[in-house]
Amino acid sequence: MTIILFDGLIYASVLAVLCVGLSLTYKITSVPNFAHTSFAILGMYMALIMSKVIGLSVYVALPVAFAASGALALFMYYGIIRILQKKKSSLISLIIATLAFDMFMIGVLNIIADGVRNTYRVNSRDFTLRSLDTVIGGDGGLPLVFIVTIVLLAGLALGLYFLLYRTSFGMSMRGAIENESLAQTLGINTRTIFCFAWFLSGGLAGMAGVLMAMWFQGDPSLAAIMLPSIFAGSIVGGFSSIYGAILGGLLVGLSEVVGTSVLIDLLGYWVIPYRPVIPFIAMIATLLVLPGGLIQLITKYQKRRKTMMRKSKEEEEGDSVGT
Amino acid sequence: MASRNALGSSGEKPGAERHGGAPLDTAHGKTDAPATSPAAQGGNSNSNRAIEIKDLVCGYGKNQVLHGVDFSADLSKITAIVGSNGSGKSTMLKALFGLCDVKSGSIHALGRDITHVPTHSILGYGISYMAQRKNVFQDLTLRENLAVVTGLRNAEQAMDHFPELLPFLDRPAVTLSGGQRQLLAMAMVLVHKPRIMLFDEPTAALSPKNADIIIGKIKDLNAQHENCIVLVEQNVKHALRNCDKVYLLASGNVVYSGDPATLLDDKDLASKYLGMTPQ
Repeated sequence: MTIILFDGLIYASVLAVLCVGLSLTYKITSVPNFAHTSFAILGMYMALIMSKVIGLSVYVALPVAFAASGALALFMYYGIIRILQKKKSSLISLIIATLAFDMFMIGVLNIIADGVRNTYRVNSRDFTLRSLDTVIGGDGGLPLVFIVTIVLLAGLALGLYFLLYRTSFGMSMRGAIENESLAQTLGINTRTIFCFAWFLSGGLAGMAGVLMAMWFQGDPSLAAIMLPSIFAGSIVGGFSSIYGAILGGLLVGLSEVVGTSVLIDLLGYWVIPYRPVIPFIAMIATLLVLPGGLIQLITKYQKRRKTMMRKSKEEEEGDSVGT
Repeated sequence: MASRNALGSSGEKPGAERHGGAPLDTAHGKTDAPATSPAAQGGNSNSNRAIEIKDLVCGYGKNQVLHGVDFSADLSKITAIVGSNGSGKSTMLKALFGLCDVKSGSIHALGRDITHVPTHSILGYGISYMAQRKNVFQDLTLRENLAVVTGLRNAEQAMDHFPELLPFLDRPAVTLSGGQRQLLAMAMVLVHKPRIMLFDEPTAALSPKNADIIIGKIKDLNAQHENCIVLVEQNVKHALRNCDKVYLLASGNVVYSGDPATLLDDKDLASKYLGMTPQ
């Protein structure tokens, strides 16, 4: 039960971090980035290299993976997406470009994996760094990665709130996302803002990859395996909402782990290969029933509540005038 | 001197200039500059000259909208650009602000070449632009909209000229009325105290009362700060009543520039391009 809890919370938190990145770049460029998981797998291999090849603490890989995957995302935006957008390419062309970049990156990651194995005699396929993690409270205690993952997600949610709602840079970012040409006429360098957002999105994915490697098995093929889950999380939450992405990522992640566990108990171990069906069902159900995602539901509820409060306030004022 | 291009047959009138030849007008005491002067190089021979556009050809992608337009506007004056839909009025302002593709020609503002300056840098040249629509960030509150241009600390100060908006400071801009939204857009473009202000149909879709308020604000600004105001207006009577100089555009060409009263007197032009029936 404890293992399922750890599995579920770590996987869901990592998924939520990845969903935030996917939604951020989608909000900015209106392009669903199919190469987003590649940034995470690069982070995973950064963790392997830093710990098994260089011999440093695996946590040192967090900032390194942030920088490496952030730079890769920046390259993707500046070197591919932006050029295509300047040429007024269609959305289909942009999506195909992200798919092509994903395939290219899977090749690169396979080269890295083979290079590490052949050069340093380190297992680089289906590897896990769980044994390198610190366990708080001895055997059967709390693994450090559990705390770090939860702290990263909470820090991300708070940090993004502070950035977007409490700094003028964040407000410019929100403005540039809503109306790029207006932002430019007001003197905002939208190119810098978009580059920052892509770097941040890639960097977060890289960090998520490091944390994945510390609990789950890492392999280049994971890029393709995880992609439906990330898209499902973002869609369930509301594709263009950052906080919706956190909510959706957590829900889909937990459903995958806990749902599979429940199904194993009910039906047996043969259901394990069918685990990816869960995010697909969540994605299709959301698109059919609530296309705007859970955030749409929350926004509707908030609006209704505000209207009711305003009405009751007006009624109170009316009563006091009447008396 | 103002000019007529398409309807040159009516001859020259005081305060009106014939287009197609010399582009610079003398309606406000300006003279054509010699080829070697700063003005001829796109600079500013007249200390009052704020904007100088020469032979501007621009558009969007392969679609060419302006076909060799000359234009000038002065400090402490209101210059209006009028014309029918699709005549290129808004494109003229967008060209000034780097929002369309300039194919040839030059644009100078306050003596500096801004022809190929990126949009986000143009504000630094003392020019601001208020778009016709979507000129505020709808999802942001008024305070946040202002913070985008002033920084968070100075957001409230930016409302000095617009006390009527203060009660709505923490409301999302999407909840404002059309008039309030235009005032907010004005507050945002005024923050940097620009010497040149470009307004693209600021009274579009407003009630007559709100339109008068907006035009009144623009005139006040002009009177107080002596800056150059370029006003694109669909409402011709409104524009001509409030401007010092007018440009009439048709199919991407200037067909008249000069005194607004003279344009109104010209029955040919008024009926053909402004839809005004001769009385």
